[in-house]
Amino acid sequence: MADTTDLPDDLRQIVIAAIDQAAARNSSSAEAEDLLLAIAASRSPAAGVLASAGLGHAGILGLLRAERERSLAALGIPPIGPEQLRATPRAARPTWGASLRAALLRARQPGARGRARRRLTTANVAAGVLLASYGTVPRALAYGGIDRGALIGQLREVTR
Amino acid sequence: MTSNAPSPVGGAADRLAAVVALRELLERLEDAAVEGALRDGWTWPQIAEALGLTRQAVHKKHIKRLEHAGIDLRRRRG
Repeated sequence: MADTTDLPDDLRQIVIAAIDQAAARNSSSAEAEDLLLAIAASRSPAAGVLASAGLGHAGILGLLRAERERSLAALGIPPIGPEQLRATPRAARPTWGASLRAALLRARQPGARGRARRRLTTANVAAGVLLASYGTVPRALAYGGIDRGALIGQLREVTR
Repeated sequence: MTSNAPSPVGGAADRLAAVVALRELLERLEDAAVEGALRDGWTWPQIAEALGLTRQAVHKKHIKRLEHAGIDLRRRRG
């Protein structure tokens, strides 16, 4: 999947919002965590499920920051002050990162084609993000004490 | 998420995550350091030499971002 043309309108907007989230973080690529941030900031049932677990937009940003700090601390690198990282944002739009693409692929029901593909919902995509076994999102949620399995179950209830 | 799969935290997962975090930090540090040097009056060739890169590589990577950053880039022989 190289673009958003095969996504329903609401999900196309979520992916565009995820790219905006990545740009706001001055990241060169939009990743699964940006999808999660975009969903949390949306007016969707999935956002409600996430918020009920403490995963509002600000809550997710806090968990992501904590994950990065712990990952660097493991190497003995302390948190670096924002004044040392202040820079003009990049001009180029972030590209689709590997973890964002993987989350969208996981969001699809196995074997879904045609109309079923277009029935893909924001909750499906949120579940697709949370189904990742490794990487930033599962680490951030593990450190935050979030039960990923329970959340995935709740998101699947929303899609029924 | 099978029971015998490695955990996303601890051990090798932590070392791999450190690579991701360092890569991200490196990019942000470079953006800030190059911009700061230009604001301090460094030229593109000086910055490139300090980074151990070619002037063309540094210029290409940062010029679009910094064109509208309020830095006078005309004197930088970029």
